[in-house]
Amino acid sequence: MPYNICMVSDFFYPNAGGVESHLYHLSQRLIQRGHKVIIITHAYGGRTGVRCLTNGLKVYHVPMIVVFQAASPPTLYGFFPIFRSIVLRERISIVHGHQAFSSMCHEAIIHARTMGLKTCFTDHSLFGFSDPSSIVMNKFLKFTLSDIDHVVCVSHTSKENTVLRAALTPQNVSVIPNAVIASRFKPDPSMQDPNVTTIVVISRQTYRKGMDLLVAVVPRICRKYSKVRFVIGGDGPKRIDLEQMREKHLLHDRVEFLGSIKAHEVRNTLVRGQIFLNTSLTEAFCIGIVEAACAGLLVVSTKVGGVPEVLPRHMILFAKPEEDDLVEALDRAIEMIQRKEVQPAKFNDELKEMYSWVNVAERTEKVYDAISQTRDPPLIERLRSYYGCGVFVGKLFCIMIALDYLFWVYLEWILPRDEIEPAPKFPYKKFKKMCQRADKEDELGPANVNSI
Amino acid sequence: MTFRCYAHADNTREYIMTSDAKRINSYDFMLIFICLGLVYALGTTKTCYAVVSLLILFRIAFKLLFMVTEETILVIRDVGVQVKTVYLGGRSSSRFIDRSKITDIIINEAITMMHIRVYMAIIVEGEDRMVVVFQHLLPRLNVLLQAYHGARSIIFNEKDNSDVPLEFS
Repeated sequence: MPYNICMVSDFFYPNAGGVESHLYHLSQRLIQRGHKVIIITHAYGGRTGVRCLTNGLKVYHVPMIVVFQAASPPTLYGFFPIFRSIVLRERISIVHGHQAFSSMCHEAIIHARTMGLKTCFTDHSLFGFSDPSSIVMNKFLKFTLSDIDHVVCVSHTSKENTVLRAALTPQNVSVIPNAVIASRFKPDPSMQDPNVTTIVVISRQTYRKGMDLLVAVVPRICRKYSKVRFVIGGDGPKRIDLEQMREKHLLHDRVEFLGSIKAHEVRNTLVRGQIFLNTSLTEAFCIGIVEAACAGLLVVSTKVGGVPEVLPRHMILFAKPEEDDLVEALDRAIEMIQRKEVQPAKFNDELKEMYSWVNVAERTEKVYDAISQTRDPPLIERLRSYYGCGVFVGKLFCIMIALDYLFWVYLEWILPRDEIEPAPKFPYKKFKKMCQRADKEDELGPANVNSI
Repeated sequence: MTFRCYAHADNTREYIMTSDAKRINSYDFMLIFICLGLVYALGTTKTCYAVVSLLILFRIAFKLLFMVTEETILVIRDVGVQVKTVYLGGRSSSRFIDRSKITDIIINEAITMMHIRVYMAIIVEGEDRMVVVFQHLLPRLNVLLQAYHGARSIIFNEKDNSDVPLEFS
């Protein structure tokens, strides 16, 4: 049965990252399976309004202020009127929120529950339990997740983490990993420099990604081996530390900085190296290492979070997240490469079977099937579950939900359902036929229409 | 709102949107209440009469000048499009766009604080702002679609698809 699904997250293109591409690819596959998908995100610069992407994937860029790293501030009820209009005009039945950092996603889930829609949430990252920001975040998560139909996590480690943080029943949490398009990361050994071993690092340069470890490791490796080079891509607050390290140890000919890399250039950067280094301190599911392995690189990674679940043993070398252990692991990796003990070029074929978006979409669809069967709890039941959140916050949450409900009733009165025009459906089958015809027409040339 | 279509000839079509909105709306009632309040507060003095009459005059002038009663799009083959707005006071402003300057005619969606609105616009070559048709009255999609298909059939010689129903889900 086809569903009308609404994905909500603060993070979407043109911002680049794992959540963004996850949203895009998952939506595309769901559309291909016959569902209708729309995405709600906030405005990026001048990009406000409604946009249509490939295959009629509609994106609503709702105007909102951005406070910190592409996340919008919580507006509490400010988002409700427009959200209600969108949901009603698109005849949405399932609201799927992404990423715990996104306040928009939390708000959407709460409002959707008030409106009696089915909700689902995907968590893309891990959190601690001790530092102040995590404690606040966890309370928030507990708030939204106390009344949700289903939660999806990207790895088993992440599931464990989420279940603990939000005090959920594990039955309501399922694991659906990310995927890569293996054909986009074809290895190309001719791009490698045969004389030296190149180590590639691509990540956001932030504390969470372990850039301090990288600063310590790079000079030690360069001192030890004369024929090793580093290629470092990405940008962020820690970039200045890395550049200082390069100045201090005079490694200008050995360490290359590429700055921020666009999504389509990642593969071309990856294939230049033989080893991929990931120094993350926390990671729910590292899509970067899967892409690297797909592109034919041996992966060296810190053993944190969901990383051990991601790749088969022969593709990856683990280290503890500390300097000495990481150097040791890199030693082993360089030795393996120089002695040609592994054939990373063959990794692509193996991973092609393991990670595919079609599979992810199928599994997500099963989640949707399950939640559309569930019974809607009455308001009093919802209030009870929020009340259980804590001694003081429980009452606060109850007040917020009650107000949300009243606001909804007010909206129903001021802007009745019948006055909201339904949006016409994107003629996906017609579009597909047109694409096929166009493909046939330029069969001689590269079929670049609808190649995604 | 009433919507009318005139086919003056084979090559000319005119779509007229007329507003049915009441001439006196809730804002006017609000103004009357404010005036009554003022009379109550200030008493029947000269200043009070002056303030009240000024307020009412301003309101009437504002309505005559800026309240839109009719919007028109006139499409002529090979010549172009004329967009016209008529105000309550009888003032009208119109804009003509030459056929050679028309890049495209589109229907798009816009987001406001409360609503998603559908609008029809003409993309003019060399200008970074579109000309929005029926900008003040903003009719519903089924009305817009008629004007859209009609205008396109004349300007771009397309087949008139307005009888093909849209799919809703």
